[in-house]
Amino acid sequence: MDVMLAGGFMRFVQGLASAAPTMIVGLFIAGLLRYYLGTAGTLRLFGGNGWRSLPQSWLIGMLLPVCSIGVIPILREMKRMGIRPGAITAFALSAPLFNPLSLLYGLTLTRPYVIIGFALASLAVVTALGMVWDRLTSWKPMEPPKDPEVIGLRRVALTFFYMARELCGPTGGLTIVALLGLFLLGFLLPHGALQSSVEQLDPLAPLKMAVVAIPIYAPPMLTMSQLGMMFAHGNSPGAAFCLLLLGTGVNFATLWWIASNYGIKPTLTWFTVLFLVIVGFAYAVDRPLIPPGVEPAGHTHAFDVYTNPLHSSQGITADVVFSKLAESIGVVDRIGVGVLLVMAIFGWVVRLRLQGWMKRQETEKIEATSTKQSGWNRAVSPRAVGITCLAGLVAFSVVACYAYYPSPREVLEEMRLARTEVLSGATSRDYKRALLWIPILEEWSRKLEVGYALRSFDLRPYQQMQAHLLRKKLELLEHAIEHASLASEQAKGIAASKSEIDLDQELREIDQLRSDISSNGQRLSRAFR
Amino acid sequence: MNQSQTFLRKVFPIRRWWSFILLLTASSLGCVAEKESLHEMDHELPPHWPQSMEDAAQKIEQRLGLLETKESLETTREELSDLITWVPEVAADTDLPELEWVSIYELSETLRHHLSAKDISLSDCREDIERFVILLRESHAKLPATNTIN
Repeated sequence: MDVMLAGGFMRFVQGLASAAPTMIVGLFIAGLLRYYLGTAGTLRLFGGNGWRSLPQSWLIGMLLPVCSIGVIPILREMKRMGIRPGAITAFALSAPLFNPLSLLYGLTLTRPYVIIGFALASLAVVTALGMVWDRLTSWKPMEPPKDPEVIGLRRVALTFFYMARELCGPTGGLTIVALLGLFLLGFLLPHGALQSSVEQLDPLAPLKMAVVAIPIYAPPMLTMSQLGMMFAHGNSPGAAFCLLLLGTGVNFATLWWIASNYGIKPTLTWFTVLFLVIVGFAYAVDRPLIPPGVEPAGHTHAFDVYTNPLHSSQGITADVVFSKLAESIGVVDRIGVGVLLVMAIFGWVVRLRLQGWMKRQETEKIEATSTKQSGWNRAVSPRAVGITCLAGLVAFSVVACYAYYPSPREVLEEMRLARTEVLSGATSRDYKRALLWIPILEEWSRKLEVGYALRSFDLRPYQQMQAHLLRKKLELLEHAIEHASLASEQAKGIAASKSEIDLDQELREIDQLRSDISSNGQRLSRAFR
Repeated sequence: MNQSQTFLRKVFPIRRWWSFILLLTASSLGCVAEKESLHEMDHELPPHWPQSMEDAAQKIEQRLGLLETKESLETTREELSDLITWVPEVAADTDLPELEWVSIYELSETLRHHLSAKDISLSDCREDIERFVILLRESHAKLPATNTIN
């Protein structure tokens, strides 16, 4: 029981850490909509109340870098402003699926038309669902709420106060609800339990994935790497589609929020339609999208992150839990959690002390100023500032793409360092070091492909093949190391002679892979230079 | 009182709904078992996976010969298609220059496309497959040392 609880707790914390950056972005966008874009501007941004609002909400969702938790404060603002429910759900479902970073990453995972097909299928799903949802909620346009008229530094302050208040309020509460899904999976699913659940020719794979994906919370980049692992292992493409739409698009909090705002019965009907449409699509694409030339591995590691990170035989102490957490949470995510904590504490202060001040500022009328406007000192409408901020956010995403996926020269240097760590770990039998660096080297190999494609608008099949070979050999090395570790432990026990033979075989395989990875490094450098 | 009743009525279906989802999730996952290690499951290579370009050329020729006598043998046809699809990966794992690899890749892609679409009969593309085999042998001969792939 303590292993189950500790595993659930670890998944909860890891989920919070991975949600932190996109959650802050979501709160910021909600603040922009409220204080800068206003009701009319937001309505126009999401395509008004006509038919255009569904595809336009999908498009805006694709551009903004938020996850299914970061989308919650935005949904709350959209609802407050009286935007039609279909557009709200279209945005809620599509915004977490893709962003510029994850889309670029996705394009290198398999044949690009598969990822583009997934994106277009998501458009079809959200449009169909949006239409159903508008009918179910019998929505009618309402009197728009009055927008706050505050300007200048006070408006900037209000935006940040609002972000903190939201975090220490409904959005924070819903975040906990969303992460409870991860807790539940970590609690219920034993270590590595989902490795054989979504095999290529398993007729139940898409359905099983659809059910498991409901409690999953996954940021877009994590889902993309999971799709990559599924394609590399020759798992079911239909199951990958279900993971993308239900795992990334929806979580417990999304459902909770929709049910509490629009009623349980309509939500249940909406979700049933969503589930059936997605599973139907998944079964339709399952066979046609099987990647050619990929030999099914018979398992996948894509869902190891949702099962219990601890083995039932492992002794559980606070030290074990926290050291494993520290290993799995990166620097950026730690900074994100730190910022969230500071914001939550500040949000508490805002709720206790500054609510009245915020209310006064929001309702106060601005007196016409007679300040002389000249040169750069011009009166700019809140909408212009809001649109500039949103455009800036999209531009920032594009710049972030170049920063996140550096030039091949830089990546090759990083790969050289990571490869040295892997190979020296394997040579000196320091397997812990090798296992630590293998995923890092794998990630750099993806960045190498995206970084090259971003800069030269081309990625040759030879380059893709070399990167694929590296990842394949790294995974084989991971397996060989795990087997060697097990065999070496068993060699100390009863079945010593058989285990010694096994160990010998594994060590020979490790040596062969070490040499293969080294040769691949030279070919990879030649291909990308 | 009235308000609390409405509240309860609202809450109960939510609980029922969540219970349904939890039950569905738990029942679909009920048969999953714990793994000793995350990498205990091996990547098994198919028995006809080629060790080198020369090996691929031999295996392709062997299947072509078998299909000449038993045209209807579906497994042999599938194995032939697998071999042609895997060759670019085997070739990329050697020191073959990119330019020469591309010609193998392009011919493999064309043959794979026709074999999977079944738009032309095997006898019609036999000549191309034989050309492919020659290309593999020539490329293998150019390699400085014997390269293998697991």
